[in-house]
Amino acid sequence: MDPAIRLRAVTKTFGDTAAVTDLDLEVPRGSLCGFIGPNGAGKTTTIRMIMAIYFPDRGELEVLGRSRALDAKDRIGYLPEERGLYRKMKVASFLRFMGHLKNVPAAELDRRIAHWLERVELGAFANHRCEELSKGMQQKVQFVAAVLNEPELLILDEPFSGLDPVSTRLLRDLFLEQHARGATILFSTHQMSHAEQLCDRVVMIHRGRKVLDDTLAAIRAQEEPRQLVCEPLADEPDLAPLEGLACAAAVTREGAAVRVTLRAGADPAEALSAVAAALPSRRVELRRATLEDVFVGIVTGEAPAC
Amino acid sequence: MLRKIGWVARREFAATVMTRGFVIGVLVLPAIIALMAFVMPRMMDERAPRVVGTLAVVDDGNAVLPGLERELAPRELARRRVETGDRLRERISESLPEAAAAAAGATEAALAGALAAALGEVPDLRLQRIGEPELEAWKARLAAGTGGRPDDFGTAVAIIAVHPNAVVAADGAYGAYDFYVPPKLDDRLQDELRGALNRVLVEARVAAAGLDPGQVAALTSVTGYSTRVVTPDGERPSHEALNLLIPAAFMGLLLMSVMSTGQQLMTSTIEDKSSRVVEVLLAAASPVELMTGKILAQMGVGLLMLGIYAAMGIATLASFAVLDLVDPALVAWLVLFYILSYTMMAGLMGAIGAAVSDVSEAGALLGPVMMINMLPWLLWLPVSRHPDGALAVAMSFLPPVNLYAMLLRMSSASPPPLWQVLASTALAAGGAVGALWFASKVFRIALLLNGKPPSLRTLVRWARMA
Repeated sequence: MDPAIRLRAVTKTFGDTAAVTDLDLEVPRGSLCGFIGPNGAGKTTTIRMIMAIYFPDRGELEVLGRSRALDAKDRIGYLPEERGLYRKMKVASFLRFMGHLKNVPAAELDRRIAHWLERVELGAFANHRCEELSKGMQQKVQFVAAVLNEPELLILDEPFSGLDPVSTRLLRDLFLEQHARGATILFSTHQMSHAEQLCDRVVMIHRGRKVLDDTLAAIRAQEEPRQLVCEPLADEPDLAPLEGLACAAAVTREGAAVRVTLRAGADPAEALSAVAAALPSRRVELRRATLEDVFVGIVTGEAPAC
Repeated sequence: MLRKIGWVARREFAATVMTRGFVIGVLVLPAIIALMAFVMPRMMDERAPRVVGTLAVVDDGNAVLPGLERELAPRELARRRVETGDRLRERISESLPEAAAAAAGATEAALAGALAAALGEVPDLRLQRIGEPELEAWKARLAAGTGGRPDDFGTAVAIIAVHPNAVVAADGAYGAYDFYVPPKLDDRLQDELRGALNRVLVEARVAAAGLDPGQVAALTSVTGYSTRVVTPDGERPSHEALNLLIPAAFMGLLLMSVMSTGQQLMTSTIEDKSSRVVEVLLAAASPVELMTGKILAQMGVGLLMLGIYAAMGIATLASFAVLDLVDPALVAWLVLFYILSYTMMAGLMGAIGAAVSDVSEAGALLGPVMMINMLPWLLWLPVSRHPDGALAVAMSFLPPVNLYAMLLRMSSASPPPLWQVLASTALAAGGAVGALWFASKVFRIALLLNGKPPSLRTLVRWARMA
């Protein structure tokens, strides 16, 4: 099956600045793909090219089997990072307008608007002007505008920025629901924890170039654990035995826990036994590399500290 | 694609028209015109300050002073003012329909009052003969100014130095007079003084030549004439003032519609950009669909405005029974010219709106566009007066102002040949396509850019690289 998104050697520059350079990307249909990278990495520019808002200087682009996203816009839902509404328009009118633009059948439109406004707990605000809503409420309205056409591909650019934890959870559940429905989701964020919790696949870009592209499981499998965390039985444990271990490069306190960073080449399984023997503990575990560790490692050129 | 353009246009049109601001804006122009028609005659009720003083006359032969004293006597001055008013009223009623004159507050009584007020109060002048040697001293008094007490006959109002051969020719040639006035002397009074002196001189010359002044006056004055326009439907009075005003009204209507809707397009584009709704829209429509929808919406707003104003104008002309002054074909051309002129303007304004982040940044880019739009006003009189002149013809083929010039020529007494109209229209259509191309390129690049506002040169560079 064709991927939902395919980019081949796509390059985009603004003046002398290369925003994206020779980017190859494939997002399989039905996947929930995290698109991560620091601020200014080129995520939004890439997404705008996928959405045919920007046009690449070089390279090929395919979205939902079409060579131009313009031909598939009605099958795509997009929640941009820069969000806005027509402030003077009423919520339902704005959504109706967006539904018309996305060719949602007229007979379906009002039903879907009412349904989605209820889902995002804004049913009572249908006839309020957009400017009367809080920022979080406006963000929910924009999410509704993005999913109103029941898209095959949903692109979310920093969807949780500015949301409180309750709204974040609500929105997260809603877009996981869209994924469960069968929609492909490309989810851009600079918060690695979100991508780690939600995505099955991760693409990482840095300074406009792709530096990582794999499933989350494969990424984790590639990263050898480099840290041990133990929880000593004693309230004030003596760390000297740990510091004397040949496998330990560093020993640090983390609240009630102790973190042991392993020397390069140290065997994690042997280190686990040695640490347990050196410091009586309730728990000793090998810490898996987080996405953030992987990211920092790539960006700084160092191996993830796990 | 067309459906999306239609939805964008529909929303934009409703957002513009269904506002209190638009309704007020549409009504403001006719309200201002009505107010001016009502208020202006009353505003002219400002009486010029009454002039009191001495008019010094160098008249060695005493050939003109007695006549001048007669002409400038307060009673005679007042009689002449009434006569002048009558003549003016006669001309106005010839040029404008009676009803229109009445509507403009120019009823007979009001007009007489307004004219009397406009001409100022009758001056109270004492004439004093002076000799040539005293001339420099009197000039010094003039230079010192006319400000004195209102009843101060010591104030010098003006000096008239009559040439020695002003009445009797010397060597076959007549002389005239030198007229010295202070820096600030009411121009209406200067006209009266010169007029009186001219009449006295002519009278004196006629008498010196042994002719009967009354007979000469009767022979050289023609009064009581009328101008009638012969049409296939019969005769009607000539409406010269309307003939001049109607082309200006057509051009004004065109320019106003184009400018206001062009501005509105720019503002709405900037608002979409600054409110960040534009990227949400671009998720559902392409930049070109968005731009086209917005341009069409404002075109609709302009056509609505044109329709409202045209209906008001037609109703006004019909009520004065002078509807035949407007050629229905011109109205059709007006609509076509509006569409083309607006599209040219919309391309520029849309591109400017897309390129900047707020209205204050648009100033530098708007300057040249505004200057272009001043041109039609500068063209009005030269093109109306010489519709076949080189300037009129040249401007008819210079987009984006060509259609304004063409409309003026078409509504003038000497309309251009059809091939010129068609060629100018084709040029404007080409200009409109070019402007749309330019705007679509700038839209594609600039709509999501923020930061330092670009220069015109940058816009052109964007258009070439997009």
